[in-house]
Amino acid sequence: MKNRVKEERARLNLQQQELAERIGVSRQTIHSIENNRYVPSTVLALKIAAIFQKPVEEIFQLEEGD
Amino acid sequence: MKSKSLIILMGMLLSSCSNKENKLEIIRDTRYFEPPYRFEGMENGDSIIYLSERYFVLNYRDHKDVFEQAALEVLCNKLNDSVKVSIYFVDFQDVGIFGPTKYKEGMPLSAELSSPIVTMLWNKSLPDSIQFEYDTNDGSLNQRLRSFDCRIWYLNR
Repeated sequence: MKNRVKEERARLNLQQQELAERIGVSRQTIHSIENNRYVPSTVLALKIAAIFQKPVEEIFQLEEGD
Repeated sequence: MKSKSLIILMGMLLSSCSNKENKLEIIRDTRYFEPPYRFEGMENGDSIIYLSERYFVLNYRDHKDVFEQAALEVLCNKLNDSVKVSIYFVDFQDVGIFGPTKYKEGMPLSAELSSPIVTMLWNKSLPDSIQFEYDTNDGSLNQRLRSFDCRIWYLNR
C-alpha cells in the first residue's frame, strides 16, 4: 500500500515526532509508515487522515498486488 | 607496438564502462501516485495545482557531493514545464548502485527496496526557497530551508 503521509506532513511543516505525539504512536512508527515498511491499522490510518483533514483514501491507496 | 596500443584501448574501454556503471542517475517512479498533478481549488482567481513525484537515485553514495545540485535541476526543469504548478513535493529514494550484481537497466525499481534520501517541497508563495528534509543514518530527520536559484518563467506572465 502506498501513502502520502510524508508529503502531507511536509506540507503542514510537521516533524515526525509531532505527528507521532498527536496520534499516540512512536516516531519510528511514522518513519516506518512513510517508508512503506509498516502498514497501519484502520484506526491509525483514519487518525492520520484526520490530522491532514483529507479522506483516508487520498492518503492511503492500494497498489497492484495488494 | 600493436599490443601496447591494444592494451591502452582496452584500458580506455574498461574505464569508460566503469564510469557508466557509477554515474548518478535519477529516474522518475512511474508507479507513484498517478496522475501526479492534482487540482486543489482556487485562490485569488488562480488554480492551485499540486504536483507530487518520487524519483529513484542510482549510485547516490558515490555522488553525494553533486546530488543536491542535480536534484534541484530536476525540480527547476519540472517547474518550467507547461503546467502552472503551485506546490511541488518530490521524494528522492536511494536504490543503491548500478552494476552487474545490482540494478540493471530495465529492471523494475521499488520503494520497498529503497531507502529515503531527501524530500523537497517548493511553494509558489516562496518561489526562491526550497524546504528540505534529509533522512539521516540514525533515523532522525534534518530539516532546513535553502535558497533556490531557478528562474520560473510562468511566475512573471
